[in-house]
Amino acid sequence: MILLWAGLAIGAVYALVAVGCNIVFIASGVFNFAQAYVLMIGSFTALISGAQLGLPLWAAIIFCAVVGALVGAVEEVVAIRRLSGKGADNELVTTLGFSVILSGIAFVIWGPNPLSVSYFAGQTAFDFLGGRIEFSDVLLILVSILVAGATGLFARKSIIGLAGLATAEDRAAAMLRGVNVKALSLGAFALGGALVAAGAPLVASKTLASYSLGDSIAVKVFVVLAIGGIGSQRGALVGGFAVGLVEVFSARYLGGDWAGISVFILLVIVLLVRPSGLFGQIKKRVV
Amino acid sequence: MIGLDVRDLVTGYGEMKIVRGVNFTCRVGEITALLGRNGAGKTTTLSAIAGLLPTLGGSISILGAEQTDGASQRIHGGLGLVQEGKRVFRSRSVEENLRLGGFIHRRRRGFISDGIEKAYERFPVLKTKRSDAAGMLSGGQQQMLAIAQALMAEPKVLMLDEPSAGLAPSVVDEVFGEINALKKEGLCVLLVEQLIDNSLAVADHVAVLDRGRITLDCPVNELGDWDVLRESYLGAPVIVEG
Repeated sequence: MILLWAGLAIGAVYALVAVGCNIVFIASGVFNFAQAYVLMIGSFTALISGAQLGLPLWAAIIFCAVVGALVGAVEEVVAIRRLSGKGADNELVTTLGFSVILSGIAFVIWGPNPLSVSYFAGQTAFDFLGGRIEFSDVLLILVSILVAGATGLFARKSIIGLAGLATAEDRAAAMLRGVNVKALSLGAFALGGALVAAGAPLVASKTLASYSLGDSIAVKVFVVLAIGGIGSQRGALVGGFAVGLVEVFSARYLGGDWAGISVFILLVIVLLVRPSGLFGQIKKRVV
Repeated sequence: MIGLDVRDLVTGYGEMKIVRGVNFTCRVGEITALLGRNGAGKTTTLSAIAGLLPTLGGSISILGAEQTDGASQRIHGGLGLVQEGKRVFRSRSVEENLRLGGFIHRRRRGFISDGIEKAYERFPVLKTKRSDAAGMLSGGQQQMLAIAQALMAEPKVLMLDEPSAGLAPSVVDEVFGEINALKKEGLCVLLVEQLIDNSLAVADHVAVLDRGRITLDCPVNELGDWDVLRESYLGAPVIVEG
């Protein structure tokens, strides 16, 4: 049971980043490789707000969200704006480049050693459904479910969400419906960055703040989105938990070396059965 | 009243100038047919008017206002374009497509739901398919949806790019009937077509585009013998047999 909670908690981190990726993907059709690195920047923001500014948790969350939104917006302007609508998925390369810049900046400023974040320090774990779990992990799992549900509903039901889906499907046609696609793309990067970074005080108290945090999460998030189906928030949640659980259980019963391999075995199995992911929509090629 | 005024328009893709000095006007309450063969520059002209392509020379005025901004602003300014190829958001439902059509009026309370009801009155078949993905509709239904979607924004000037392409003859008649009805409702309609006869049956004014230039521009009732048109359209005299 303790493994189950640990798997869900780490899965919630993947799910949160995957949800941010999906927000960007829904509005602009771009796979944002740098999303996990925004979380990494957020973890250092949480470090600063705790250790240096002494902000309470709620203020730290807002501060991290603002920083995350700024990083997202800067990324859109630097790495996306000039490329969008030109076809050829160049954005995959530029977002990857942006992620390298982010971890480089973090390395220069904070150095190679992981630093602990003060929020939730000294909390006591409690027994829940036969397993010990820390309060921050419960919160993390709940937050990821809530955020995935709310953003999924927003994308499908609100007119702005619909405009995002329409833009991803056919950019020119969306412009002809009066959608300001540039503002929409900027907004999506900012929102995706804000949501992911807002979770950083929670995440970083678990993972510590480290310049390499982005690297370790980004690849897993890629797997999560492939399993869940890119663009589906339900898929991000289910995929995130699945990857987290497989990782933790295989590390426990097969040995630590198997944690990474098992995740990719899961990916291969899912893709064999459903090539577009569990909740992905199969795109028919239109001639 | 002039709905759309195109003066010495030059446009194209990057270095390649497809349209070189095109002039024509469309009046409110009239249908202007813009005819031409494949590759004459019809779709390119429409894309430039809609702001999807840059205006490299000349000017475009919609309802008297010269257009310099992008597509989104022109749609706000009263322009509508039904793109060629029954271009609807295929993975979205019929009703979602209609909601997106009214995107620019999203802050007006009740506007979109009223507009959707009007669209269902105009095209009852869409109501029966309201929850279906647009990509699952028949070609004719998709064309109806594309027109209904453009009308959701309540444009004053509506451009239609080859609405008959790929449709069964009976459906073509229905679509042209709708276009005629739109004119009677006071819209300024620019109809781009390859079907000469159907277009001239509903149009008030006709312009012919050939290799990026206008080669004929006159009211339909002054056309007299359609041979003049055929000659201009085909770029060579036509031998009438029999």
